[in-house]
Amino acid sequence: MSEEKTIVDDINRSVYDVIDKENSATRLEEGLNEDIIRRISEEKDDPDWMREFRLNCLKIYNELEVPQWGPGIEGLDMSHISTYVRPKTDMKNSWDDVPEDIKNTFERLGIPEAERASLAGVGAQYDSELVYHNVMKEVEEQGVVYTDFESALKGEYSDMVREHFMKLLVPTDHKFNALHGAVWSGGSFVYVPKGVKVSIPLQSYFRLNAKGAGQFEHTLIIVDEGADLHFIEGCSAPKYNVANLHSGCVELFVSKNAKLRYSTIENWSKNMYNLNSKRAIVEENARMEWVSGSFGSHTSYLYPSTILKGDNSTMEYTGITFAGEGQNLDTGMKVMHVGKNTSSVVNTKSIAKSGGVSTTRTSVQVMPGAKGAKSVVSCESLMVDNISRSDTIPVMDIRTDDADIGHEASIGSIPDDAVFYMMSRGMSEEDARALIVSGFADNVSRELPMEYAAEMNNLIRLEMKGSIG
Amino acid sequence: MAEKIMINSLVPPTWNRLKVNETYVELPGAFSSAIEENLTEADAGKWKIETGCGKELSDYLENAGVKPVLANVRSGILNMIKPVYKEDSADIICIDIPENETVNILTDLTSDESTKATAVFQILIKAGNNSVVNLTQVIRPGKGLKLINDIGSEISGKAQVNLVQIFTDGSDINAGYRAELSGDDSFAGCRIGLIRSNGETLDMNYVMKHFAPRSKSEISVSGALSTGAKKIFRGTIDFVKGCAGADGTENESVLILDDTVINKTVPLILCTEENVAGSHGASIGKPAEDMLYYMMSRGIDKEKALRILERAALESAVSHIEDQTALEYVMNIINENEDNE
Repeated sequence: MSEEKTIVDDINRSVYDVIDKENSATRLEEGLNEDIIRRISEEKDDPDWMREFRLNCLKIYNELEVPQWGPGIEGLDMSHISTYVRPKTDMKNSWDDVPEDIKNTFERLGIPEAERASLAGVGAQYDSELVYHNVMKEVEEQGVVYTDFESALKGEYSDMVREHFMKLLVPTDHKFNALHGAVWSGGSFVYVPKGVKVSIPLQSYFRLNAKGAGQFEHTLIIVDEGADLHFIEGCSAPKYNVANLHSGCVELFVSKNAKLRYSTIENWSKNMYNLNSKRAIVEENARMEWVSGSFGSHTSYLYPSTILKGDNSTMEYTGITFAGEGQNLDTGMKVMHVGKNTSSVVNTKSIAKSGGVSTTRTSVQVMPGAKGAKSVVSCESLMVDNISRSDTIPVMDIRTDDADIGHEASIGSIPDDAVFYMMSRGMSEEDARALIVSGFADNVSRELPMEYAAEMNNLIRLEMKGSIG
Repeated sequence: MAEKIMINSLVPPTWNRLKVNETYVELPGAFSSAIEENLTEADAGKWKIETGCGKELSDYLENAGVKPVLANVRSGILNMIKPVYKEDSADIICIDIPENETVNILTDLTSDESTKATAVFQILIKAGNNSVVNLTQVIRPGKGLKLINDIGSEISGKAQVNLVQIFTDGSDINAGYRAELSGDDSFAGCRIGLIRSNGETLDMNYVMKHFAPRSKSEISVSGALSTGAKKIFRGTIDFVKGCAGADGTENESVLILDDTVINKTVPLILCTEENVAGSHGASIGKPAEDMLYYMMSRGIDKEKALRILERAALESAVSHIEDQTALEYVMNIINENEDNE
């Protein structure tokens, strides 16, 4: 086989890149100051405590430094980001009522079809606000609350929201948590009552259409004792020649004996700075599962974190990151073992191609009282060419004698003999390599509902089509 | 005047809250030499080799007037370097191994319990084509000696540098090693055995930089921690573009013997080359119950069983010592320590 490598430009991702003409009802000017925060608060008719919370977050934002340990974000200038863009529609409960242009976008992304086929409820956010929200009657009858965040903030569950909002992801954690606290808009609130098992997933889909804008949705999920939920999050945006910003927050509370699976297929456009924060706290005998596929964005900082607080609590993280041309994706996970007999299983895969940079960053902390903690971390990286970069940066911090911690990491390339074998059976080199990469990502796609696994494999095929090597 | 400097930087860094990105040490403004032998001064311009502790330390030593000296090492014998620590001291020992030669070197870094000082011991190695450097270090400073043990090596084509380090109980230690695998088919082996207890710290930064095709590196760490010991191990395998066919592995096995210790492990793999194989494996935790049970069922009490496991951790590194005289020297020290306990 030839040693020469041919690099071909990435192909068009037309489904995701379609730009709707911006037709917003409100678009606040670019930048970040107290006046803008007050206007967002007014637009959203915040309760007083929330307005004060936002203003305090702005102060914290201004005091904190930009993180120096990750990918450079010099291209992100907050003075050129509009933090709030309200689409020209309020939230609808039927796709028929959603304005045609917005509905077409979601149709192209297959959201209504997915809802009909395999979801118990859907929230669809367009720029800063939800434009569609619906939940199956049967699920509602089980007492499950799935609503837009603003309704939850002012409705029956307002106390619960106030009790939990940004308590896991505190604004002082880092600059972009503080930013989120100041300008958050949209997102979902989910409450699954005691013992209720939601057998079909709920999904939120986030679409950022406005050029030079930010999206700051907040997702708060509380799974009560013995309950069970699978929540799916999807995101995309068209590509612009200016920076867009996504800085969402996801806070997950998994009560005693409960189980939550949180799946994400992230496919932001390649001008997006994806500075997202996700954290779960897991009580006694409860289980948290993360499934994460990161394909898009220009620069990502994404590390879902889990606090295994309760005795016998468990966590499993399965993730894949695919960094192509012009992308610097810094992804991974964090877990902190606090309770006794906790366990975590982490399986990450990363692929770098066409000059992309993929960094897998993980931390496993076992606190002094976490007797009987077990953790197994596996990080595998695949280099598809020699113009890309792939780094693995794990940290283990172990502070108890009664722990069993394993970690393994490996890096390698697509084996030439496997490509040769498939080509000798009539496959093109491109298809052979795409198939090998799909196989490499198999552990993630197996964890997703079939429709989403198909979408992920399609994304891999799209990404691989550009590289013959 | 004493100054605080940054050493053992993690490149690239990670989350600050984990406190593994670097460490700071306070160094005196002036140093004496702890080497009693009269050694020839080396041409400092030719010995600008990066080390594990980092450039800030090397610059500091240079500014403090510490001159590199050439070690007298020969093939066919065990070359012993044993500094005598009485006061603040710093030494930069340059080891230049010509093509096709094999040398065995043993350094014993120890001090009297009465010595209260800070010491920097730096070794710079140039391994010529097809040469072999077997460097064994026993690192056991007395309680009053704060020691920085720092190594840098440049390894040419088909050359090997085999480093074995044994850290037994003693004072707080900072250690660094950086191997630049610049020659085709070059090899860097790094075997570390460590025991830390009684609140001692060990802060380590080991970097294997693969520049050349088919270069190979192996790092293995085995050890045991107890009674308030703190250990940070940073191990980096860096595959630089052009090192096709390179292979790097890191393995760490650490026994944690009680609840008072802090063990941090940071095994990085960095890669800008497609055709490489890199891997890391770590196993951290308490001794296996069945192994303890087996030993106790044979009449060995738990304390004794734990001491046996500590010793096994050291011996896992000791088994890589090539030179018989060096091996016996190290085993004597391990036996003496055990007898003293």
